[in-house]
Amino acid sequence: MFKHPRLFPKQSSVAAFVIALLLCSCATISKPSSQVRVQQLKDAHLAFIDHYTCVEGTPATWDQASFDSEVAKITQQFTDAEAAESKTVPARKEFIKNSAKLFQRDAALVRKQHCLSSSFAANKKKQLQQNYDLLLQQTSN
Amino acid sequence: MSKLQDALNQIKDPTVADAKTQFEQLINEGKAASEAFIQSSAQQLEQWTIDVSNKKMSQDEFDNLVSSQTVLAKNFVASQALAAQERAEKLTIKTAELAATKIVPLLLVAL
Repeated sequence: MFKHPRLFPKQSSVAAFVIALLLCSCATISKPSSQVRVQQLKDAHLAFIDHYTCVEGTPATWDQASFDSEVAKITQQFTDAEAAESKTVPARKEFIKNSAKLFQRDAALVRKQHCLSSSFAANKKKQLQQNYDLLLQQTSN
Repeated sequence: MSKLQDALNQIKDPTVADAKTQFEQLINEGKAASEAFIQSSAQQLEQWTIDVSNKKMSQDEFDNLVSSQTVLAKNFVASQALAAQERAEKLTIKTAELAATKIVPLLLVAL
């Protein structure tokens, strides 16, 4: 007798497949929150350097209020990230604290010069990449 | 002649001849190190010194990079085994201090 191939899997197989798919997608899409926070700090710090890099050697029009507001916003991000880190990993807390210090130094330099040379910006971004990538490696472990 | 030597040759003051030689040796030793952080620190410090000599960076900018690198280097040194800490400190923090206190100020005067 001719047998039809089974076109539809059993309901239990479908359910198992859906659950497996959901678990896989969760593991792939959602990074640990600590890693997300560090990535956000890195993005904000690098964007700050880009924002205040001199255009063709000359500073853009200086807006003290806008600068103060941007620095306050990023400073708050560092404070929140440090507070959110578990006390069980003191090294990570210390690393974020040190990164906040680096940001404050950069902010002080911008406050003084109003813009950063393109050479400094390139060197600084390299330094920051190295710093945050090390921290990201630690948080992924 | 390397770009670093070109930069250092702009300093004519004979009282810092030893410091110039020491700085160049430390940079070369750092670049040859097997530890990625030490290697990268030496390469970056060399580049910053060259950029200052080419008037591409101000002293404040150089000082900012050096002080930030010192913060990072302290983390690195602390992560090393006790026996390796002295060498790591010499090739990162001490070399940066030498550049910031003896090399770059005179380089800026010579420009």
